[in-house]
Amino acid sequence: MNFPPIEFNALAPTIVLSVSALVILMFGLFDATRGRGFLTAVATIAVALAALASIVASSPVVWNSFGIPAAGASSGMLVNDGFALYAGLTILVATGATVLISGRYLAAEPTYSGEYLALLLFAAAGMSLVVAAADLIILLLGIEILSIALYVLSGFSRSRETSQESALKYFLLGAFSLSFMIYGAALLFGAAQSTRLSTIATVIAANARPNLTENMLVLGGVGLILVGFAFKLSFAPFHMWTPDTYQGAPTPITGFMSVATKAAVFVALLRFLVFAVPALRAEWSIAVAVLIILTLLVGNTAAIAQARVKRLLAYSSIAQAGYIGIGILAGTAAGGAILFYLLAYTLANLGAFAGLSALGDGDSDPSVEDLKGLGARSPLLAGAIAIFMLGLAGIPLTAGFMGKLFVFIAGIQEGYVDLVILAVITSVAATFYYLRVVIAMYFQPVSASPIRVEMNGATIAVLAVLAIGTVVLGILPAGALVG
Amino acid sequence: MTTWVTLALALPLLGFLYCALFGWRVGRAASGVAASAAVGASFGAALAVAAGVSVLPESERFVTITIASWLTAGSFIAPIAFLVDPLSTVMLLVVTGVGSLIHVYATGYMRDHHGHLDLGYNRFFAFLNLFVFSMLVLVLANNFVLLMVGWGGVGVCSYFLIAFWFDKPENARAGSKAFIVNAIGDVGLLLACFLIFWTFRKVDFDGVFREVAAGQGSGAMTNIALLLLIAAAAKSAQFPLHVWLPDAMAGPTPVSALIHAATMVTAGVYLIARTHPIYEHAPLAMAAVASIGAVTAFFAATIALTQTNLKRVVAYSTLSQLGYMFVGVGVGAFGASIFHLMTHAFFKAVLFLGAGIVIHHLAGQEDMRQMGGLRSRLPVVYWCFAIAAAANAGFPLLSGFFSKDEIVSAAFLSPHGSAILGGSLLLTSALTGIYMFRAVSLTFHGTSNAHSHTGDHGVAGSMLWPVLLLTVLAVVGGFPYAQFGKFLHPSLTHWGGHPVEVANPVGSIAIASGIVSIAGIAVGLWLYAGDRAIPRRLGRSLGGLAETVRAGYYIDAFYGAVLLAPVRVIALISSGPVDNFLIGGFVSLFPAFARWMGSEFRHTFQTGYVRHYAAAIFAGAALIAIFFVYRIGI
Amino acid sequence: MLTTLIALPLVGAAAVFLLRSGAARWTALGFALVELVLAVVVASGFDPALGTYQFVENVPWVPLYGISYAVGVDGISLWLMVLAAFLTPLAVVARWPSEEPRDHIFYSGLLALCGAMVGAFAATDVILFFLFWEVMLIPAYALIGVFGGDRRIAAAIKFFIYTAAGSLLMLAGIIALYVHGAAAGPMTFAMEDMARVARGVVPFWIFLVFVLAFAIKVPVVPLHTWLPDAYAQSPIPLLVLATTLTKVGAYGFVRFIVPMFPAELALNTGWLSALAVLGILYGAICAIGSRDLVRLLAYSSISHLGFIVLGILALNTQGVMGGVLQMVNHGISAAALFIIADMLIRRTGTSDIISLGGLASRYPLITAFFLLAVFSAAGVPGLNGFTGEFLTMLGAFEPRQRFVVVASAGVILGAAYLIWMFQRMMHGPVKSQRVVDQRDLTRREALLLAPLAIAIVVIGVAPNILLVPMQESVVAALGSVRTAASDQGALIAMLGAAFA
Repeated sequence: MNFPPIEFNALAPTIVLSVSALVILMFGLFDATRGRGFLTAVATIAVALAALASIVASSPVVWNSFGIPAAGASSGMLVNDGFALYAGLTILVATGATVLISGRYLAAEPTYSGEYLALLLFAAAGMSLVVAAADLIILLLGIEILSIALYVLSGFSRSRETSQESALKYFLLGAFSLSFMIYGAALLFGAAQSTRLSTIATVIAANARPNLTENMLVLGGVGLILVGFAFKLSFAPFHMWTPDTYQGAPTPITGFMSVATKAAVFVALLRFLVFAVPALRAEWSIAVAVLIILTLLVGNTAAIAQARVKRLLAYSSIAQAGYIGIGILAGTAAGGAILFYLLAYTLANLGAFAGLSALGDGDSDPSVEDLKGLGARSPLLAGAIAIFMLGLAGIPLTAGFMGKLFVFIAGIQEGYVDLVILAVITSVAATFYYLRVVIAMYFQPVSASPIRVEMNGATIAVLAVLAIGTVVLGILPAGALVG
Repeated sequence: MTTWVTLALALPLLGFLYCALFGWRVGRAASGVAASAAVGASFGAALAVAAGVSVLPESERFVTITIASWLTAGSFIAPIAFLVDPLSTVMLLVVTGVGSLIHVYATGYMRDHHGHLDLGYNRFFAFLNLFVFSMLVLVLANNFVLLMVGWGGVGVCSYFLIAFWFDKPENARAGSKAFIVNAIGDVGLLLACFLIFWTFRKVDFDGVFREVAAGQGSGAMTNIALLLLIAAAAKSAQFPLHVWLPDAMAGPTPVSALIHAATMVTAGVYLIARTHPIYEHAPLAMAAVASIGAVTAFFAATIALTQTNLKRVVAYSTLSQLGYMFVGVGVGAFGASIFHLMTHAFFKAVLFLGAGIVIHHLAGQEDMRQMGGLRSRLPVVYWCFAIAAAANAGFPLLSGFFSKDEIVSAAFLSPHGSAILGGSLLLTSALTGIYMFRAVSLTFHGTSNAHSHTGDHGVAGSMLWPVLLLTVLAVVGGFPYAQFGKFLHPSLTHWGGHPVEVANPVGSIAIASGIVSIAGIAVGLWLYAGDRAIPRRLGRSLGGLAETVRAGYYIDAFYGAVLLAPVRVIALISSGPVDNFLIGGFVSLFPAFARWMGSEFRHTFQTGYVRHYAAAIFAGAALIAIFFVYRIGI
Repeated sequence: MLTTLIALPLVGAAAVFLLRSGAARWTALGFALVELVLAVVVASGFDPALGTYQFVENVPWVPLYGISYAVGVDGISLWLMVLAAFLTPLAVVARWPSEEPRDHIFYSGLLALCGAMVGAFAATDVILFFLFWEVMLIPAYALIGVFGGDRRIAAAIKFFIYTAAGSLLMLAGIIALYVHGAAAGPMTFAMEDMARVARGVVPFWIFLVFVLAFAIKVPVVPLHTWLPDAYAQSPIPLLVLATTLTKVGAYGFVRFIVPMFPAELALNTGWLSALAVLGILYGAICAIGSRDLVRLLAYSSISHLGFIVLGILALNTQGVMGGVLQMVNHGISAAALFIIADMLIRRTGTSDIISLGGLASRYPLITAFFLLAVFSAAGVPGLNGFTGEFLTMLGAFEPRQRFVVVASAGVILGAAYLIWMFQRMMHGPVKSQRVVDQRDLTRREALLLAPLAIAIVVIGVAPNILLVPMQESVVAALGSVRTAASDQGALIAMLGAAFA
């Protein structure tokens, strides 16, 4: 029997991450309490290695290369293109930052540091599969890996019921919606006799439209797969798990899944829609557009109402998905814009959660009120959070502005003027709730019982890097803009 | 020539700067001297200018002096340039001449009986000089926009000086009132200026008048003239914009004499005379000017009959005399009006300054019912005042007689005139005699009712001499009417104008008006010199009417009710509820919406039950499925 | 050169932010003065004979989308830059007496605001302009929010949301223009490219969002309601500079809408001018109705900006030049009025006009400056206010006589509310109000007001200093209007297409 060739280039980050995850797991078995710092170090190094590996493996890097292997290519399960690399690096940045800000949280839950970090790396490994997947099986595999890791992580604060609840909800609903995706994949396989995106594309393209319209399998398959994606990206109305899960999960984990998962799944979605089912653009574009409209409206309006910062950020991340979605509609033209937006969003949103992780015991759920007077109490932390808020709001001189600008350009270029206008109007509402945080920090006096503020070196470093990144990308975006 | 004009302008300006910047540091008394000296010297320069002009041949008595460019935008060009011609020369002389005398007078007036300077002594002279400067800019400007600078400047100074003793609220109010009413006039001038520019594409007098003479822009002529009339009426306090002048008496008396009698208030007459080429092409506007003048002349005279405040009587007589001048320009007798402007400056200055001495003498008492019997105490002042009053009433061979007579004759004889106009003027001059000598009698004759006066003390020479000089002018000022007319003539014909010039004052009309004025004076003396029983009975018999007249026909009250009150109400409404709720409201909805979301949204949508979430997911999936099925088009 | 002019205050802002208040004050003043000197250098190096951009710099920024860092200055933007640089040191000095520990934030915010405004005036790339345009809001918003009055937060939010809404819609419009151009061929966000595209057939809504964005910033009634609240809640020294913010809106009309949408403008000046006139009257009326000194001045700003817009919409040389000149004039007289208001409020502890009175006898020198400022604002001939107001109305009179006649009522109302304000506060008997400070004009305050007073008089006597360098650029900006208006037929067809 003959083995299919293994695409080590594309697998490089995944392998590094999984191996080091196992290593950490091993170390974790012995005396985790004192080894915590050591484990963190190992995890950080692992992330760095993974990044290095992925760059080396795909050099020479062609950043704006994006696609899938031609149909019938001997090896077509994974691709190793610029987009995968870009998204992969974004994910690794998020992972590394999460590892570093988890210190204070792990101090509270010392016994399980090993598991925690290992699961984090496993999730990252799953994500780096997802971004490179050129085959439905790999896609599902990757999504499952990252999901299971995240199910466990979001329930990691075993002392808190809310954490348990969030994990359970996430798990139940995740399984529920993932089943849609699997079923959709099955239908597509039925239609194309293959799970390769390339083959699916050729088959669909081959069928002239009249026949195609008879072909329930294809359309049904695409529709159900869309549901799976929509859940992972928490598009309305598949978003409902998000606020509860984000609120319940440990703060660093919330930050991680709010950015890394999105980065991975968005690239996968783009790859799927643009390369597997371009022939159905007429159909899926309308469906996606409707989802985006709902998402923008629900996310932004609901966020206005939130009193708790984590919930506020949860809804805001839903809204952010809506903006990126406009890029998805625009297709490959927007590829660079989407990647830039994902990076900008990763920096700002993860930064915000990093900031939260410096409050209370590192896993607290502060309300906007709790931030009152933070500007006076801890200028650096407040300043960083303010930058992240402005970044998420898309105020100029932050990466967020450039991201919105590029995505809107792409959207209008593809003729989605009305959608962009809606996005613009909703982002005014967004400004309102992001500014609420800034107002609380700077414009209002310290509340009676101020929340504890405590930052270790790692957190400070992360905050600094993310804040600087947000500003620098806002002033000099060209370097990070693929295309 | 250039030098003299520049000097005449610069000196008062320097005086102003000195008083304003250093006057309060250096001994304050010095400001008075410096200011008077500045205007006096300016008068000297003015004489030189006059000499310079009169030696030129008639057709070349129009010298334009350009100092600098000022306001230039595209085709619009308004330089800082001055037009020296007979008309502006006359005004230059009147302003600086009368002005310097009144300055001297004021150095005495602006101190109390112990010779202590008024607190705002230097402030006073600063603004007095600034006023003279602005007035000169007004009369010398060679284009409408620069004229507006002088026009606005005199308004500002008038505001300052009316509200000079600002700690009394009524003074402050009087100042604001004058400023706002004059703003109406300024707007008229502004709009006229726009219309002129877009009609002729230029704003300098010479250029515009040439176009007019060439028959250009005949369509806009009436509108321009009427807009200018608004400006003139506001500045010269003609009905219905006269309301500010009586209140303006709140200012120190020298101010009333200089600004609100001799010079500024005559700017309206000057403006119409200056723009006569336009008016001669706008007969309708001419008629409007004349009728406004006639109405003002008459009704102001009636009010003057009823006033008890000495300065207000003189003020209303000023309104009335300005009415004469308006009739003059209205019927095309521009020369006559300017002549009356000059003589009026003389005798009205005397009246005010005399009244000032009386008031000063009685330590601020202005109510004639508290006066009387001052003849013995202030004999010189009495005679000056009486002569000026007679001149004002048009007593034969006094200055007022000649000038007024020219206007009356023109009102009868001019093609624009009519028997009604002339008749009303004659009637008015009868009233003039009555109210002037009512004032004379109440103030100087009879027995003293002065309770409040603080003993007897001499009148400072600085105050007396100017009055004497002006009285002389008030007597003889009328005789050179012929030379005056001849001198002015070129200004009125240079741009193809056809001024009405009454050659010979001696004639039926002259005799008639002479008789009428003498009769008026006689009646006035007869009624008030004695025990004043008749006027009292009269007052009682027509009490309501008398009251109405005394209250200025309630015109102030009318404006208050019809204009001010509504504006105030609308202002309160719009700055309050309208702006806060109607217009601004919707932005404030954001937080409200947030609160609503906070309460409603969570309970209806974000329940927290997995089954609901799952249901939502299923619904979504179902929708997508249905959509695709629909697309398939079964 | 211009880059230095933009960067210097921003660098200063960063530096000052890190300092303690004591040193911050002096450092801020230093930066502001150097900035002023630089601005003067630019002005003196400016060649009035040219109608084109000068001191041009152009560096590719985001090549992929044709965004570049492009700055330049022409006769229209020149004086507005100088104005911003002129007012910043004054604003710093106006804040001087405050002893708040957080004042370094205030001074830093002022410098940032100055830099952003200079940037907005200098930008010749639309995205760059938009960037500065948005960044301007942040310091203003922050300073209101941190140092403002009791209802500062509501005011700050209103201000931010209002203006952000307008500008984000404009962003959509900008992008749409770019995309239109890109469809035809290689496209950039450079102003001339955008203008070229915009003058072609573009959807009408693009024109509308541009107008909306600038109209909110000006503000044009009825989009003005952010302004009275924002001003009333601001720390007054901020207003000394912040009134220039609104000028950026008016500047937008001249710089963008006139050259970009001549055809649309030609058909829509009617109702826009009507709104401007409405603003003139409504602002004046509200000013008459205001008891609070700062609110009154805020409404008077609305009224004055109405004249500016009216002049610009005249689309002739006089009107536009008058509009730009009046932007500078209003910046100066408003600054003077706000500074004096600040002095009097600090001395008497109240901004309620009714409860003040007779201050003239206590503070004669302040009164003198106050009168000058009041008359400048009232447009008394011979002072700066007149020159601009006159030209705007003169220009507007050509196309729209009736509008100007109605607007002229605003002049009368203006005289009324200003003189009434002055009379109530300064004249009459001394009211028995709490008096915090008996001193008349201090030396610092004299230094503060003298430059403004000089500017008021000098511009009133020699406005050509400003007008002459402006002329060519204005003519150039209006060139497009001429060409557009020249063939109405094509224009109608064009708009027919645009509406369809």
